[in-house]
Amino acid sequence: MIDREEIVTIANLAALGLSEEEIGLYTSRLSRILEFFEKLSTLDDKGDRRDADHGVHPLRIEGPFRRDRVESSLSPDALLGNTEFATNGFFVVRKVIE
Amino acid sequence: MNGPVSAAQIASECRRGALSPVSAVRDALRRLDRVEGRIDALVHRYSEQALERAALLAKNGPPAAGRGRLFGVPIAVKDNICVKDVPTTCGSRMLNGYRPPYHATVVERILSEGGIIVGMANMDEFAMGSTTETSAWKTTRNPWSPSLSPGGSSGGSAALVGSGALPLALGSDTGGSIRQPAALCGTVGFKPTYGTVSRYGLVAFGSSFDQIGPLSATVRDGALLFEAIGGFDRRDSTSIPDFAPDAVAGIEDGIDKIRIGVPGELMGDGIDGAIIDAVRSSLGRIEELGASIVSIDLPHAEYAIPAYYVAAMSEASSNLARFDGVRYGLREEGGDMAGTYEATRNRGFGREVKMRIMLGTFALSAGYYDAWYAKALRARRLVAADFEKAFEKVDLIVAPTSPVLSIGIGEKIDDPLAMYMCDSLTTPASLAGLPALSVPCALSSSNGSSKESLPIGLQIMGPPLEDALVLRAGRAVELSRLDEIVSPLARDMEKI
Repeated sequence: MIDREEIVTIANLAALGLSEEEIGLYTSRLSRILEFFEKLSTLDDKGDRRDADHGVHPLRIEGPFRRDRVESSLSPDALLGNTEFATNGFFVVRKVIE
Repeated sequence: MNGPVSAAQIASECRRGALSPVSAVRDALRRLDRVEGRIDALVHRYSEQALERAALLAKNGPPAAGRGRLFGVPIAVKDNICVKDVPTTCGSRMLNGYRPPYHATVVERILSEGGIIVGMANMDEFAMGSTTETSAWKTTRNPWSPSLSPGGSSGGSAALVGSGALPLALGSDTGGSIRQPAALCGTVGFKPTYGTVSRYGLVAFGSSFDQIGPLSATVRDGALLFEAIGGFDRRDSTSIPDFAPDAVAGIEDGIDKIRIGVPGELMGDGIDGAIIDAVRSSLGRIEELGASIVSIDLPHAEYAIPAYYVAAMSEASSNLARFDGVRYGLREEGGDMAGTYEATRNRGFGREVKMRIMLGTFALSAGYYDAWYAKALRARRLVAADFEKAFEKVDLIVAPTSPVLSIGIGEKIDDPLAMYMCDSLTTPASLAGLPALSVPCALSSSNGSSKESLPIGLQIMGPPLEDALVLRAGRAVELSRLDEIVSPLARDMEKI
């Protein structure tokens, strides 16, 4: 259903850094799950005409709007308070561009 | 410290000064001392903070009329709902030590009604699981038997209420995570209509499914907590405008002339015979109360499990992308930025969470999107359309909550598919965003179908925004049941 190579590609897309052992485990588990979920391909959805907006929630909740005005929000200190990797009001990360 | 605790009773006694919030909290802490070693249901316990807050409430006196619905009531919060400045971890190493800088809206509302938070309840990691075993911290046990799982993912919340330690706990339900553990622990669990309770401050799993709701010893207490936390919140963009829950006032109105639909698809294959018997006999009693029972069809229910897992895990794979080690939680340094992301996510997430992120990433990736994600969304709409059609001829729909009576600890943890099948009866209402309640209806031993004496949950589903009707019917089931459903741990508590 899904092979090792595909598992490696998906793991890279999801930035999961899987070990060799995990790659083996997920190849067999995901294959089995997808085999069972293949049932979806038997769905007769011809009566369903809303293909164009298939992201819409079944309760058809509409996105709200508000005026584009600055409102109060959390302080930078509060937002930086959950990491030890912060300095001068910034999050510190490894150099991205050489 | 006598008998089962009722939130409504505690709040009423505290409001009129017959009970001090400090005594109510002390009582809850004593109860927790008694059961916690046997159920392991709390990830963090906030005894001192709870006592301080109780003392403050006692000093300030009862609230103005119309406020204080939860005045003095001790409550546990599932570990994925943000409580300001105290650890909220989602049962994951990824969020070890994370202290939210804000309260979830539901927490703010509990506090403004005089409720007292005593701790964070254990859960499956990021709410991904049906047994609470995927928690990075501990294995929670069922108050009915230490060899059994409490269900999940809100297993800590259900075990705390089912053990008689607390009258109320908050849970969250994406595919059944409030209802299923409620059924397995013999408590009431309510998933409100999507959009009626704010998700602001709930760590996102499947955003178009997630809903916070109460676990309680009685339906009335569940309705009380739902009223306290429900209603429009502008900080949640899917909050339903102009909705204010009103569920307690009419809760004793009964179900005379209510039409109850029973879908054959949720009463058949793969469900334990003792559960079917219990639900059928409960339906008999419901009929005696004046309701009519009608057979209905939900022809697409058979697609619920794959549709739910594909759609919800697609959302989860996107939601959990935020855990990258940069702004909060675990950071594991790698050779470069991408290496840091990978090392952090590999070490921070547990096995089931990684599995589900893989499933969602697969379903959303180029070449597979149409066959999997788009197809799952179409199945979702067809399941919702089945319900819409059914509700043209019935007011409510009844089915079992869980297909199995119990899940042994360790029994399904290495078989994800078997675990997913535990959600077969709860995912249909999740896909359609409907209000759904699990209420204990019988013990498995009562009609001789099973030697074990375990609680059985009956599920009541209603049309969108008919939350009050669902709760009213749940109250009728509760009143009409023949068995007294009290776990051995809660019974022990009565003897104190």
